[in-house]
Amino acid sequence: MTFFPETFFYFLVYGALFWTGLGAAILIFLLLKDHKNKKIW
Amino acid sequence: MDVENITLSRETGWILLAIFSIAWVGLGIFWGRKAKDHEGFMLAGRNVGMALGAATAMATWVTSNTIMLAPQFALKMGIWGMLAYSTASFGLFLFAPMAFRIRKLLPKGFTSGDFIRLRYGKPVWVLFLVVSMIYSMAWLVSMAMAGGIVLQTLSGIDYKFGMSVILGVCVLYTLFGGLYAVIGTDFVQSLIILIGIVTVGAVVLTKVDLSVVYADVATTQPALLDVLMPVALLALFNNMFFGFGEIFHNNVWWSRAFAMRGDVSHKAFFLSGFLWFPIPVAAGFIALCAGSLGINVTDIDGVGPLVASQVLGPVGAVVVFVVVFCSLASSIDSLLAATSDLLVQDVYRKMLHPEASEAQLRRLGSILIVALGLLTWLIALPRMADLNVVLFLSGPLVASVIFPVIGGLYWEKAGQGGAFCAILLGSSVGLVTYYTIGWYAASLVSAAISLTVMLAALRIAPGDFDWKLLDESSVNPNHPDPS
Repeated sequence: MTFFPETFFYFLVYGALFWTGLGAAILIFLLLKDHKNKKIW
Repeated sequence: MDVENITLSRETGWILLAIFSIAWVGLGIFWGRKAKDHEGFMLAGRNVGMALGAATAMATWVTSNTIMLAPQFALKMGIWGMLAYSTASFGLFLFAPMAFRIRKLLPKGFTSGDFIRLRYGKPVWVLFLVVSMIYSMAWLVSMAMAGGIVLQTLSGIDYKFGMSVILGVCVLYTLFGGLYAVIGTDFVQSLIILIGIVTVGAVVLTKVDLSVVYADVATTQPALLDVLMPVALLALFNNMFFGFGEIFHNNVWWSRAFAMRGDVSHKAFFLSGFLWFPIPVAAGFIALCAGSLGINVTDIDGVGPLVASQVLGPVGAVVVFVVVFCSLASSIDSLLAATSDLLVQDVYRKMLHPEASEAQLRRLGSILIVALGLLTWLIALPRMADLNVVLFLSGPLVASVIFPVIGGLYWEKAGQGGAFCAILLGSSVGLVTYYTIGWYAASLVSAAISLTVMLAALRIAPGDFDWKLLDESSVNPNHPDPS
């Protein structure tokens, strides 16, 4: 049986958490940008 | 369910439920005031911008099933299980160019049914509506059930009460505000979901050492770390095609494509896929930590919330409670709105009452939102099956529609006969596969059969479709009120 390496497991978990947090930041940034350009709706 | 698993008091659960229920209904009414006519109610004025567009697509796709099933996938199929769930985001990526084409071909379209009716004619349209309604109800019921289960797991609120309140709140604010309310609340809910998942994951990482988790899993359940886990690999491709089928056909996504500004829709869908991709891993990995933390998982349906609440205590339970509530609401509201639109536009207006006034359509839309909520409640009340069964049974049905939709959008030679046979044969063989082999192969087989039939029909009986027939704007500009 060939295992995924432990480093990959680390990368996967930490990467996913960072990426998810980045998503929240992107959405807030875009909302501010749309608000500035009066293009929310 | 073990009583010691409950980490929130019932009173706290009810207070949280009340606070968020009032918030969603209040925000729904606030944004819903923008809906001045039926088109505004259905499609939020067709002018939704990038931030709200991306957030609503992402939040709708983060269902309670994502929060509940991603940990289950991790627990049953390990690393591949989490990655398999992440492939559901590919549907959003691929829908991005389709959204652009949808806006171009149907500038005044209302529903996915509109497209199928105009593109393939009535027999395919009826078959499509049957598939779409079965899937939409399965999705609604599975989410209502998930809501009841997670509330019971976290706070001891009786399944029937929790499920009823969540469903009732979603019905209320969708009823008041239509797609304006749905998209507005989706943005707030998407932020809460993303921040909540990161918070839970980060705190879990402070309590466990990932190398210990890895060693524990390698010892106790080595298959979960196996690079070549056959069932998980099948699940990966199956889930990907299931996701394609869900997104490509369902009016939830088409209504968003129609609601977003033309220059924004494709970018917003692409971004929503990007935002969604890591969520199953971020929400799912905590299930693999259960063994290292000494948590006895007795109810696999609620493993994610259980681990989070056991590790983080009452605060963690509150966060999970809120995240799941937001995930549920952001999807249930979308489905209620999009499914009632499908019934109003495709069944009532196109089949039964073509001269219906705008006021009649709006009134019927409201009645159908309530009726769908009631039907969902009745089916979910007995808690008959586990989440996987409810959700994955509809997989082969929707997977059979993938290639008829793609063909309909891009291949002018795709015709009615091929599309009809592709959906019928794909669904039938997929369902047989579901019962004879397993859920993890059903969508894959259904999509393969459907593609084969579509390609064969292109060679045997090619059509010659005029794309201009899809544009109904000159026939019916904005559905003027005949009254």
